[in-house]
Amino acid sequence: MPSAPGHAAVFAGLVPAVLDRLVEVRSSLDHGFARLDEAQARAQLEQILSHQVGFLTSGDSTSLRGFLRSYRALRAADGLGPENLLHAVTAIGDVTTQIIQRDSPSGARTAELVSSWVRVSWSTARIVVEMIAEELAGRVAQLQELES
Amino acid sequence: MTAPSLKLTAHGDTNVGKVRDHNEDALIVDAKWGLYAVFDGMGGAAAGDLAANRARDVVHEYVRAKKKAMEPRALLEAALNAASAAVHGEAQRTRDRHGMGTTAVVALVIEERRVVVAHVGDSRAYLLREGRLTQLTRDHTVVAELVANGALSTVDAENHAYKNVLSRNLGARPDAKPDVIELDLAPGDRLMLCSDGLYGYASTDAIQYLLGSTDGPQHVARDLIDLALRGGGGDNVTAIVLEAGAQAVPRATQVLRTSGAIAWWSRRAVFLGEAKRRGIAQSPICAVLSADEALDIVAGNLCEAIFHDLEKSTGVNVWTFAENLAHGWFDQGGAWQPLAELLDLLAASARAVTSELTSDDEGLALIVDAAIVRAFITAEMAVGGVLSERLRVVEADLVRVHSARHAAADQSSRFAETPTIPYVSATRAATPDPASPEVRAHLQTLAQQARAQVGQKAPARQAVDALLRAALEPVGTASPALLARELFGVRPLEESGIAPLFDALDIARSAYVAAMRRAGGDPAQAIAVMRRLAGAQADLAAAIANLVVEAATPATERLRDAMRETASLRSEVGRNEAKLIDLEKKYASKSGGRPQLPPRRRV
Repeated sequence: MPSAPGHAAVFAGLVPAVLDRLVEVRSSLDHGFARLDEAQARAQLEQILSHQVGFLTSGDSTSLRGFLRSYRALRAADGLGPENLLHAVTAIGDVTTQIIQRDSPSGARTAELVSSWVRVSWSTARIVVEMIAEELAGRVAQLQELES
Repeated sequence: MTAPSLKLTAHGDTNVGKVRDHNEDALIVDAKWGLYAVFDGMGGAAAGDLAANRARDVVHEYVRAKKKAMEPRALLEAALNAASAAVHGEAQRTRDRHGMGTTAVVALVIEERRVVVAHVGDSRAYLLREGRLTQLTRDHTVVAELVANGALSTVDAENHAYKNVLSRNLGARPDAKPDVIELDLAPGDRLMLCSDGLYGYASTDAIQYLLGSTDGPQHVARDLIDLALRGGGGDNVTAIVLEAGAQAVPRATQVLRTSGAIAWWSRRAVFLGEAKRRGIAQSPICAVLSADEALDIVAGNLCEAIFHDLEKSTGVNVWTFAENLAHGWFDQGGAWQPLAELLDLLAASARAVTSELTSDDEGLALIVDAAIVRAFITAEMAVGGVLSERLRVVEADLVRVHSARHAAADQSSRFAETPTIPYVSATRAATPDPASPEVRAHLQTLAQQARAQVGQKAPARQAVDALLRAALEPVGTASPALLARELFGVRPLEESGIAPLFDALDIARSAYVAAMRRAGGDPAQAIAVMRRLAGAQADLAAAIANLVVEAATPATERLRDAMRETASLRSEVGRNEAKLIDLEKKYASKSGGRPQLPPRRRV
């Protein structure tokens, strides 16, 4: 998994442009973001990016995992299922990759940054899938408990 | 000088939606005559689709017969007037078709560059140029015209009772009075025609995003329909996408489609060899296969899927591979972990390919590497989708069983009064090593200082205590699940949402960290204390998250039931509106006058 402080520093410079674009296309990320006004959406997207950049810097997924759990719970309170979160984090990753490619000079360094970033997106998606799997296992256990 | 003509490609799609039982939209996609159109019918019984289909046929026939003889603008006006007269005549002849009509938005392409667009009603035409979406047509609704005349503000229009009532349609009168515009297309432009079932259930941002993708019109039209269906699909939905010339394909995509795909396929032996070396045959998922079959069926198929996806800039092959793999494994009762491990093994095998490629062409290797990681993200999404599908089924069963038990226990209780907390099972925490006496004493001291810092305000004070208990003995009565329930209970009634609980945990943690900084002392002991506190906080946050997720589930299920009931009531209202129109017309004819009501839209 990524451990690229150099990339994180370059990426930090791109964050404002990434955030602007994500806010602009928030309705296409998922229904949860479509319901939010600009300020709310920006705040939530900033949180997600901040934890992903933390992961890019340190390679430690603990904080990102913890955040995604809390965030999943907040979205559940809005009636959004875990698959929405999976689609949202993937779409955020895609939009971010587009901005990196758009705003960085073409060359090996940008390609490396894109490569690091897609790995962050992949790990983020994996964490969400893991959460869904845990949730399913818990529910199956509950059902068995209730039926027995 | 005449501008060079552009190669136009187009595709249209329609779907009945998720609420209605039949499709009253109709469309024309006729590249030979350069004619593209969307019709959205309205009227009781089967009159809506009759009106749309009749108008479609008349417009199509009229343009084919007169295109060479008439000027384009006049041709479309005449075609739509003819369609309106035909639908109007049909409506007058048959009693149960009174009031039927249809919207229309028609694009006629001339010389592969110039387009004439005519419309009546609220079906729309949009143009995407250089990434920016523009609505070309103005809806013919009573409210839109009041806004255009300055008689109504846009804010008031949003909530106006007649915001969906059409001021013009084909069939209300023998003449249609269409609005007509002309435009020149530029390379890369995309023109979209759609019914209100699209823009009524999808945001403009989302439409702009999908129209701006590098996929061809066929995929984009299908994705737009899917977007409206995901947004509720409360109406029939139709979309036609026309593309003027090909959009410039990014260089990296071109490289991937050609050199990247070939580089991957020519190294498939490296991929398969690495998968074999890493023991793919030992995966429980391949237990029923021989070693060669495991390699061929699992690794070989993925290798081929990645190649086809690289070649076509899509993800559909890897998605299908992963979805089939997940369904097959979960159907056997398999758990997620072995599947995740198998995907990791395959991803590591793919990395061997890009490592080898790096020595030949580093730039290409980076592009291929990013594309392959993207393929594994697609696989995660497919697996996540399968898991979510199963989760929904289990949740529905859970609510059914729970509701049945609860109803049996107390027939008079209401859902709103159903306690949710007993419904939640405690999670089983792992038993960690016991804290040493020194660490326990240090934690107690820090807790005193943290309590002094946060004061008596709930729930931060309780979060300090919960963290201490979870850090000292994260089992039995101090298990994270039980502590989370206690915290959930102390949440002030006036607080909405669960954010305050997570905030409280953060405040408590900060208070501990501040106390630790003030205390100083042995670094090794400080690290041991902080590790226990960090573990306790992570467990508590996870337990609170689980609590909320589980507590929200019954409400989500009830919400789905309510949505189904609402859809049924909407259909009922639609039927009654149709009856009302008939009665109004009967009354008008008996009183000798013509009804002066605006045409009604379906609900």
